[in-house]
Amino acid sequence: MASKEEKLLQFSPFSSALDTGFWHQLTQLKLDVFQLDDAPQPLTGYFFNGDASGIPSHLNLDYNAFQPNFKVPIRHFPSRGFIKNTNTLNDFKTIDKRNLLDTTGKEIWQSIVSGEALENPTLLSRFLLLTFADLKKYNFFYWFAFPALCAPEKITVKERKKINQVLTDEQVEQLLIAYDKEFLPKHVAFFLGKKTKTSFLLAPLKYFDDFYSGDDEFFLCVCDPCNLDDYPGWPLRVFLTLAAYHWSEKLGGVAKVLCLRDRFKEGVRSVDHSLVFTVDLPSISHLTESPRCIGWEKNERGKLGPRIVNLGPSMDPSRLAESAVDLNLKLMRWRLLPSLDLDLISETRCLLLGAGTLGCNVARSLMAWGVRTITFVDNGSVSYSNPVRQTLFTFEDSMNGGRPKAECAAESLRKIFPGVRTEGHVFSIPMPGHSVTDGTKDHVKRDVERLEHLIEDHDAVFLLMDTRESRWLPTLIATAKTKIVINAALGFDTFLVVRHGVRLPQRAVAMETSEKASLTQSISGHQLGCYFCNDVVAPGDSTRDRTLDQQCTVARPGLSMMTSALAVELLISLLTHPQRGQAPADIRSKDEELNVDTECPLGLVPHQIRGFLSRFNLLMPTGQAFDQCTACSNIVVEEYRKKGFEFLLNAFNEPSYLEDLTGLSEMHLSTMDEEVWGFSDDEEM
Amino acid sequence: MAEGLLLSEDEFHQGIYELKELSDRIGDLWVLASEKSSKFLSKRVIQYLPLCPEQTDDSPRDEIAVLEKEESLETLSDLEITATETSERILCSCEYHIIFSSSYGVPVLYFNFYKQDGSLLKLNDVWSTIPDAFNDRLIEEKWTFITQQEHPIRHKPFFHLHPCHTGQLMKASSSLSTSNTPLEYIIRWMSSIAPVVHLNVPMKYAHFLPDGTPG
Ligand SMILES: [Zn+2]
Repeated sequence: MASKEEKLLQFSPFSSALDTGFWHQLTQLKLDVFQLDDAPQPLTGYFFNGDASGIPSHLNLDYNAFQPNFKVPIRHFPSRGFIKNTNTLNDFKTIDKRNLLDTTGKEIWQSIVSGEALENPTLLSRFLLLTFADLKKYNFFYWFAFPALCAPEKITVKERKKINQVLTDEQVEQLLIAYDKEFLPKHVAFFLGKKTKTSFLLAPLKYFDDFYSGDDEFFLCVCDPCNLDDYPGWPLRVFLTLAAYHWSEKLGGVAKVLCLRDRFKEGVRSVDHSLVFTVDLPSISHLTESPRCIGWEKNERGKLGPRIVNLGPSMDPSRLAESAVDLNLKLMRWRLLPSLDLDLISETRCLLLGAGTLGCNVARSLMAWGVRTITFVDNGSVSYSNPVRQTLFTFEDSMNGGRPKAECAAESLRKIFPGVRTEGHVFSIPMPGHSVTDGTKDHVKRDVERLEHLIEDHDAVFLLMDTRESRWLPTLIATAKTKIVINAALGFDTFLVVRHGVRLPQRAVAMETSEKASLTQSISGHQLGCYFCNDVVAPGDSTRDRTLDQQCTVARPGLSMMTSALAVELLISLLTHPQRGQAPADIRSKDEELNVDTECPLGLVPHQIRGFLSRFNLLMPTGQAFDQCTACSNIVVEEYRKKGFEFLLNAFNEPSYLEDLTGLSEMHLSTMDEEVWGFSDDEEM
Repeated sequence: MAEGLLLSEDEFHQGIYELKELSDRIGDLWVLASEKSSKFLSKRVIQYLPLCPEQTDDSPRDEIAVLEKEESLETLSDLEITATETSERILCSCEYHIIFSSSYGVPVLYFNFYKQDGSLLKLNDVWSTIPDAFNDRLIEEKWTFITQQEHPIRHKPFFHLHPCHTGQLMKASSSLSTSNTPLEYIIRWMSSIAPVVHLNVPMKYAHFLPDGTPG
């Protein structure tokens, strides 16, 4: 092991090791304490001489680094330093780095010359840290320096041995007893040692004169963070400057250095990998000026330059909220539903037509499922009575005439969860039976186009409006564009949630009447009816015919939450089904349904859910598409496709146009749904 | 709510004081931390973790490149010794906290793995460092499930092992031994979860258990 050839003593540099807690503390201090004060602030880091084999020597800064009384962890040794946090990136770039380092170098030199470092050897181990914190982007620029004085200029190695080639087991034991008693508990990394005839003794640096005797074999001892067989670590470098200044002459220009490495493995201590170097140590006591100082750390690319770390993912509150929300859903999947495709859900773009009680609650449930794109359309404003029921609004929103609901709801969603992409569109949806004059024609046309674009740009459309007839146009457009539609409507204590049939894209209008469901098990998704298939009266101006009593009716307050929740859960079940919009609706009897194996991991995907709160009862009927439906039948969809706005204009203006077209007028009034669905989900009429 | 073998807060404190003493004796590195009137055990170790170093991030590297060219500083040392990161491992600071959960009545392990620049490993990366031997257990046994949570004292994101099954686990593993002091409890618990999160628990701790095995 001993090597005889003389060569320069080289030192293994520190590499910096930080943790997120340190950056958190810097951020907080910058914001609350330092603010624009960029004066250097003291810091404490630490190093370790007990790492496992193969770990490079490192200087650590952690969460506690800024604490004035920070005690370094057990078996670690302190390094005192300061942080210079610049106010701008330009300051960081242009600051005189040589000067910065020289300032620290001079302090070290001063502490050596004055003898202060003999009293307090911690002064030998220093560092400085230059930073710039871009707190908007959570980018931290940083550059460490571990200052070392270039004196003596050259130190040559005469001999290198392992500790057990120099000391007996007994002497090592004596060394460790003294070390454990005097130096380790005080976290002192530099001390003196000598081998007498009978024992091995240690002493603090300040007792050199009494301790050193020419007769005994003498050692400069350092707790060495390096793990390499051939080299000592960085702390020795400044220690040798001190020794060369104070003791070189007494030592005759030659010193033995004991690099103590003190590792535990499985609870068993070993110092066998400690090294003893014999080095030439020329005196530098004649120096009057501080020697030049080096020590800037290279970055991860081996270049002499700063490093940068982006801590957005662990510091930016919005990103933390996003990942926490995702994680919550992932936990549900991991634990209960491994086949759940959360990405598919979060990527589903949802259009909410109506931002009243149903719109607000649907949006909240969608957000809870991780849906990230939620768009509102509503023409109304928040009124005083709204906030208690419409869960995205507050009293302030209802003041001064009220803010537009669609915009207010979107803003509220962002406040709840900044990760959501949301917009509010304020316009009214044109309705059949509400005639369009020449004066309003352009305006209505613009609104229709707006709605067409919105439906085109979304994957699922929720119909959550006040009136039955306002659901007609979006039903028609969404059918033509084969989008998923979830329709929710409230009575006083009854509700309906229905998913519209989604036509097969390749033959979107070729739904053959012969293709009736085999009424045994299920009806396929493309054959399912829409909200209007159940009605045999075309949508008209329902507000006109209604009695005062009906117009003032508002739903039981809890009904909207139940209905919204079911509407969202129905969408999620549908999305999770392998056939998505075309998922068949089960028409088995209720008891059978409970035992059936479902294709969807979440269970059944019904066509409709009808609730009767007076009986706390739910029904799940299934209805087939009606080939004379005024909103979704082929004849209507075809007319709309061919004639576009011209067709719509007829439907808006002529009360009987849709009935005539579909042949419905013949059956007028022959049947009527006994429940009055869809007259009000809002207390405002 | 919680079932199985539980600890009171006083027992937990007694346990961690005793564990800290043992730790000192066998060269382990646990430190008693006291923050915001909460006491817990803390330990920080630098070690290689089995993970591919990733290169991409969104930091403005160009700014750095400019500086590298402009600076004409003397190099720190002619000796080039840097961390030898290979395609299979990455040098990390691993921070472990043992904190008492009063709602579950058990100790909970919170931990973070940092790269050298202080950035946090992502949850997916943490999952991928879990030794293969535990993969089946991870999927099947929910209690070993590692997730990210707000640290109860520092209010920053930490990984943790969910405590909901700790009580039952401890009941099962201690049924063989006669006595069960808080110290033994914590040693058994620590030994059972440590390998999952690269926490080294020296075998010597087991010498302080009545039956000599860590459970
Ligand atoms: Zn229809």
